Amino acid sequence: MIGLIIKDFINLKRNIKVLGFIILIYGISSYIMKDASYFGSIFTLVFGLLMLTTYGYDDYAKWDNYALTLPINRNDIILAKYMVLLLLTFVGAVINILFTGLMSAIQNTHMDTNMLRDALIAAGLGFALVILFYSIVLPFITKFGIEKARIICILIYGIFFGIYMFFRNIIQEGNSPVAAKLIQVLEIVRENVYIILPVLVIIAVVISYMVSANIYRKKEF
Amino acid sequence: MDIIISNSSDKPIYEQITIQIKQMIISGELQAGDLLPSMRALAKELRISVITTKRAYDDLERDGFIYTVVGKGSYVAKKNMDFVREEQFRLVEEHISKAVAEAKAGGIKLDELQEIMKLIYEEE
Amino acid sequence: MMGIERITNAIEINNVTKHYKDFSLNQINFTVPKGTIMGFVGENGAGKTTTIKAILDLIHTDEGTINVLGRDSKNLPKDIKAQIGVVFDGSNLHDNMNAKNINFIMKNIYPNWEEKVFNHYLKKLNLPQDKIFKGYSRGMKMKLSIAIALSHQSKLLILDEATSGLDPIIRDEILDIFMEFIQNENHTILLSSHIISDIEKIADYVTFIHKGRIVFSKSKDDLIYQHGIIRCRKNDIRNIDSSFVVGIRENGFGAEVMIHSKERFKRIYQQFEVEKVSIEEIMLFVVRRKEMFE
Repeated sequence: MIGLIIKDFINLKRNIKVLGFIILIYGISSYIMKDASYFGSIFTLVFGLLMLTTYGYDDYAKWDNYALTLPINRNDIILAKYMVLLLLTFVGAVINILFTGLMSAIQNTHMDTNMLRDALIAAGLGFALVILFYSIVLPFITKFGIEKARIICILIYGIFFGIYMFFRNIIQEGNSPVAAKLIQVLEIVRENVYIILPVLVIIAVVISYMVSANIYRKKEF
Repeated sequence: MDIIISNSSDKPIYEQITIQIKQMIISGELQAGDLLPSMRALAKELRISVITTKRAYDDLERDGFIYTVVGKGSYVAKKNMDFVREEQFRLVEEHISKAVAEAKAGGIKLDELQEIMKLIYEEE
Repeated sequence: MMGIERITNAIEINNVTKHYKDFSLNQINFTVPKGTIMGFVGENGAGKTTTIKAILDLIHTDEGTINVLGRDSKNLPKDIKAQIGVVFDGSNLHDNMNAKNINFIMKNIYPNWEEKVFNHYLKKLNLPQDKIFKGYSRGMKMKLSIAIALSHQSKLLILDEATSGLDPIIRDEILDIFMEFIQNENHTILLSSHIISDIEKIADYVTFIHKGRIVFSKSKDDLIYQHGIIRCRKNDIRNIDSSFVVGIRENGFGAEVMIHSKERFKRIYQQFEVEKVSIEEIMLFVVRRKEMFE
């Protein structure tokens, strides 16, 4: 199974160049705008798509048929994919935090506990959203293949994107009464978010894995 | 050890192998106790199926020309004069069949043919 | 170790049936004895790949059972799978990987992966370590897939159209490697192809599948020695016992009749000259006969 995880990361090496370019462009823009979250959002969105490209590579190489002849069972193949998802998203979150730290280091502002906490929350939120997105999307990809599942991916991506930007803007502006009310609600959620979100994410991933594994066990090639 | 097989011959390949090995044993080119190449090695060298070589070796063993020790290989058996003689008779019959066919085709009668045989035999 | 010595047949297929919308495998029966090369032939679409997928549990069968290396093909244990080397048409490799990457990946998948052996085959087959597969020709991809299949102590090689689209020189190289592989009597090869000449060169047994059914499964020697072709006048055909006849091909000037039980036929019909046949000709005549009666 580890070999499969390695396989996906080797394939993604090619994407690192493009990614590096994006980090540079948006990193600099973000720095100029003195808004770390600008970089954070764009980066999360782009980095979050990498998982899909691993499926694209497999599809193009007609890898699945061959993979099933290897000494691994079908559950392992799905498990490896979820491991890649978690690892990849984790790396993305770490990069986000590092960027925030870098920005404050460059600006010579001492990174106090509040800033660190905000950075961690932002990264954690990004992490959770990406994982939730894929929890919904991966079973579809498993069932229909990446090509056919693309539309569903775009749809759900759009929904998540909309929700993310909506909340972000609300929190940023916070002027209208609706926003104030929302922020009130969010504050309550925020109190407990440290518990709610992780639990939600774990449940989502586990259910998603079980559904995907079930689909894959029955699939014919 | 040279074994030459022909794809265009009428004889099945396993028979060609059998005949050549028998001849080598009779002529003394292969001595009793000599180790033969394994069926698989022979098949690989001649680029034929291992089933063919197995059949050849099975036939040779059945006719008493070789014996097989499990795990070690096939060895030339001590010359069993009966088998050798049988083989030589078989070869002669083969040649004579050809001569008879030619004679019949050419309109040569049996007593003429026998005359020719007698002359040639006593010549050497 | 694994008891491979005790196995007689590397693959046993019993009454396998699989229905698709416009194609079916029907009552597929044949065995691949251990230590042999089985040539699995048939025209494109006859069911070779479907049968192989069934053997590898890529598809589920509607009826029948399959045994691979002595075990049920459904949910084959990992340690058995690790001894099976599979080659599809060679292009199951990712474009931006190279041989070194594959080695690293396989090292972490196969418990019995042998890096030294893999590197040996790379050298032997002139495959570069660092070039990514995007720059590989079809022949190189095939050779690499075969190198992989030979580098984890495989006891069974299953190759689906592994030599198609390759030039004759490379095909010969690869066939040589297969013959080397089969020197070990515990090794077995199942090779499917529509290039009959390759099969005729190295197969011990030939299984012919046509429109989803097995037409015959015999040793290559038996096929070649038991079948023959006679050329005669069309009128002569009436005088031949039809039980000998495999198929007939008529042309403007006469007919070709393929017969089986060659020795018996020769004894009875001494007037005909019986010629040797190739596997390809047997297949053609058999298919014609089937189609005459379908």
